Amino acid sequence: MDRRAFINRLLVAGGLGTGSAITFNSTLAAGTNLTGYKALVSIHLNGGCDGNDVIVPTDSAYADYSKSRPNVALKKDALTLLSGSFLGHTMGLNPALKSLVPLFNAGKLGALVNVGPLVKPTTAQEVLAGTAKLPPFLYSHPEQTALVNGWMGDQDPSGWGGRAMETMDPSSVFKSPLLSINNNQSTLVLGQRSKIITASSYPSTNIGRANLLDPKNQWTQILDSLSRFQSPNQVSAEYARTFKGIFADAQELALAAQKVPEPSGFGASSISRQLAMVSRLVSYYKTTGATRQIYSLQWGSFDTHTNQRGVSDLPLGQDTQLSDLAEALVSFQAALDQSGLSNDVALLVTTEFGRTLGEASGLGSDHAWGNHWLVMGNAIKGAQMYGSKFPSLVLGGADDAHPQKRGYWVPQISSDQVAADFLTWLGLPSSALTAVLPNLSNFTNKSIGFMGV
Amino acid sequence: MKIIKYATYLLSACLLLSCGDQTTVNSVAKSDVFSNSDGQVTPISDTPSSLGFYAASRFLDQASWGPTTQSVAEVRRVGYVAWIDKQLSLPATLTNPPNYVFDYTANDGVTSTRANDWATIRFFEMTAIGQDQLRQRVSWAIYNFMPAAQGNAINRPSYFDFIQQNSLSTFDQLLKAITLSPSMGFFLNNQENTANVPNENFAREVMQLFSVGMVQLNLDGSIKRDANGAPLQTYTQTDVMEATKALSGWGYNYNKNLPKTNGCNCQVPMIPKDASQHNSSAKKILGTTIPANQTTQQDLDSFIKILVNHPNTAPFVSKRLIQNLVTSDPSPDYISRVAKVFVDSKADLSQVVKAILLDTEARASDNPSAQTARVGKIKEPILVRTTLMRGLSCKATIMSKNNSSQADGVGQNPIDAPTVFGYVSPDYKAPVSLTNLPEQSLMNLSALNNRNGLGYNFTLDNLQNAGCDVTPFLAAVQSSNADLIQLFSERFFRGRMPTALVNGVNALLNNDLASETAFNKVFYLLGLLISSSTFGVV
Repeated sequence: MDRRAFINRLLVAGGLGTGSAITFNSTLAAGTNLTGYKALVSIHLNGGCDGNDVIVPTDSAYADYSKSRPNVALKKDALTLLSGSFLGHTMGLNPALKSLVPLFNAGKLGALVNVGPLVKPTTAQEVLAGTAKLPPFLYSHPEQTALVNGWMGDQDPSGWGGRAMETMDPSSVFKSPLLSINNNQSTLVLGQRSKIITASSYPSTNIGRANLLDPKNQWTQILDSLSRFQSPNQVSAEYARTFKGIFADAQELALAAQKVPEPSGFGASSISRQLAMVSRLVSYYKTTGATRQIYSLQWGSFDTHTNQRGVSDLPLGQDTQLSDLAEALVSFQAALDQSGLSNDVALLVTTEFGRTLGEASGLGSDHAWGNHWLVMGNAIKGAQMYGSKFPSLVLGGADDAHPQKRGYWVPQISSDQVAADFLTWLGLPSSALTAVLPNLSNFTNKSIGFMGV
Repeated sequence: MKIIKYATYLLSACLLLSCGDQTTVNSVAKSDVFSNSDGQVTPISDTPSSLGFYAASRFLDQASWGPTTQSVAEVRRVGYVAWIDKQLSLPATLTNPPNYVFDYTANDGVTSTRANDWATIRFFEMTAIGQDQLRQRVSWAIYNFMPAAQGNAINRPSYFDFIQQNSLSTFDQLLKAITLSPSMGFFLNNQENTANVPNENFAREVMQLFSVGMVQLNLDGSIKRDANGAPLQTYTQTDVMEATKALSGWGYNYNKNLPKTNGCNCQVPMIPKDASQHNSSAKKILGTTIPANQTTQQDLDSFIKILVNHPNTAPFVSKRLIQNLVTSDPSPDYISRVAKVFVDSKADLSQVVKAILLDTEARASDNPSAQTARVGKIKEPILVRTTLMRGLSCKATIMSKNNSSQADGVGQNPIDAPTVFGYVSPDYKAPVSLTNLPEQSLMNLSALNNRNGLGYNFTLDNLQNAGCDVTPFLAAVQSSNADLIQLFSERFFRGRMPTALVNGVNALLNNDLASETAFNKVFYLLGLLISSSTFGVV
């Protein structure tokens, strides 16, 4: 669907278009009646974090795994074992994620096995035979990052978070629904008409000599006037508009930081700093009247073509970063528990693609497709691994869609299905799901079922 | 300051007499006083005497690291064409790293910090004093879509040297040079790509980002689509795997006498490893077959030829260069005109660059009274800093207060792109914006803080150590508000500082800043001024 078609559909859905809008209109009216507060926090692991080394079977399938990547594989006795069995296997986690086990066992953390962008249900056989309908630009970082976040092609850069919020809130009355941390380039929270708030993980009360909390400060007033500059040149006009947005956001975020001090327990890593800020913002926004929010974080450098396990110096390997991630997630959940927001906030960990199970030269792996994601929060039905099977870890085996047998998994769960579960939880009517996630109409199962009530 | 007042008088006269009057304009220009802002009547005329101060300054925002008093005068004296031709003839400034950048103890904080900070410090110094301004700007444009980073301290400066030496030669030579740069070999792992154990990283990105791009293009840069409107993809995963084979078998020109921190021998191109490391089977890439049993070098030559001759490459590369030098969202006609030069000149980048800068679309806004709606780009933080340094006549890099690294307060580290996608996405459009403006994605609170914080980050000592000449600014403070404003306008606003900024500066000088030192007045104000949209846009 191109941008115009989508906007038309939105207009129809909102009752503004012509034609038979009645069914849509009645369901969407419910959106404006959403009450309470809920927020989704999405962390995208940049570069394609290799799920093959995040969740590892510890039964007979371990031998397949270690045979397929003899120099990169985690040692079996190093894995952190999970109790119970999942998808027919006993499982271990990368030891860097050890601190997440209590959250998993408490039912606050779950795993989605073999997720990725799909046009429709697809098999490895179809891919190898060349008969599959594939998502565009597979294996490319920026396009796959955009696709798993709901991108609809070059005619419509918006993502599923932005579109869903605009559908739930057709009159744009929600306070600050779409936010990103340290990043202006997130597809997830990009809508078709909505402003994105870009927050820094290091909030500041001042810009130069301007005190943002003092409207009488002369510099604050002049910055305000600069932000209103008009120009017939679109480049200058866009500069001024961006400036205006930064200035307004900075004023509100300075206020948020003043009102909500940082909770204890967060570490110094970049992802801990980001989540510390998010934990303050959800508190601030809930108490100042926000209804629904989606936060987009993008972090890390997981494109481990070489040195996947890391070396003493650069480049950073996977395990050090997973350890930072785990520490940040544990601190975040603890902060939510402490502030009484843990039922209101759910968290998703995505990455753009998996990596070849077969090694790349230099102790790394190349770009692939299906991968494992994590979901966290009190609202999650955790302690589970979702999906119907764990991929066979045999190169050239039943699930390998790589023409040279290097180990690509064709996703069994579509990123759109994952989005649908979160959006339903946030309050998007089921009748509006396929408008926000067009490819979902190709799937019988519109839900994975990992959200509790 | 008499001259400035005289110029102001002339400006008002110009307004009264109508600036379209050629005679008036020329007489102003010939009088050789500052601030003939309205002097450009026929925008693309290259008659030196007709080039106004505004037009020449604007041209230098595109073709150099920012105008200086001297460079504006030179462009006005010789005209655009002669200035470009002279620039094209200048030798490349190279980084010339001192020994401590090659050889240091990686786990020793002091020596490794000194080694790793060096590239950034040297980069800004080159922008301030290098004569090859146009070449450097083109090299920077190329770096933005062909970046390499990481590695040891020597990797970054060496990579920029590979670009500098080839940025005005042919695209074939450039592509071959960066492919064989050990820094790139390390960054995208092609030095590990062998016949038996492939590594697809470089093969994919050299197609996706450095040459043909992911979607098929017409000569004007527009996307070719199928019947359903979906873009036609340029290559498949099979092409990537075949290209990986063609690129296999390269390694560092290793020498056991080199220090460990220069194990890449980074200033010397990679060489073929043992022939057994190269996959010598036949390959079919982008529809062209490379025959079996070629050498490592022959396969590379064949592969580069396929890329350079692909119909996408001319519009793809032309658009990237236009976006970085002149305008973020060029018209299809502009891309098409430049791409045609790319094809006709056999990918001669010096001719391509000349065509970009002299194009009617590049020159259309040379007349400050007749601004066009779409032309321009937002300055990236590095260009903000270099323009600032050149406006202050600096001769070296301005170190931060604690002398740790001058990159503090810039907000963007040169030759250190965060990923292979560079600092920005060339297709970036802000939410609800209608205009593609990549550098807009770098505008955030920390960028505003960096600019407005100038008065806190700079000290007189550090500016003087960098050879910056702040004397005229301090003198202007003592003279009058109007003189200071005129000097700001001349150095940082092409002689046309907007009234709203003039009023703001006056208000601050008369109130909040009244009791501040002259130095603080200048740099607190300058921080504010470089945050404005007028300064922030090329």
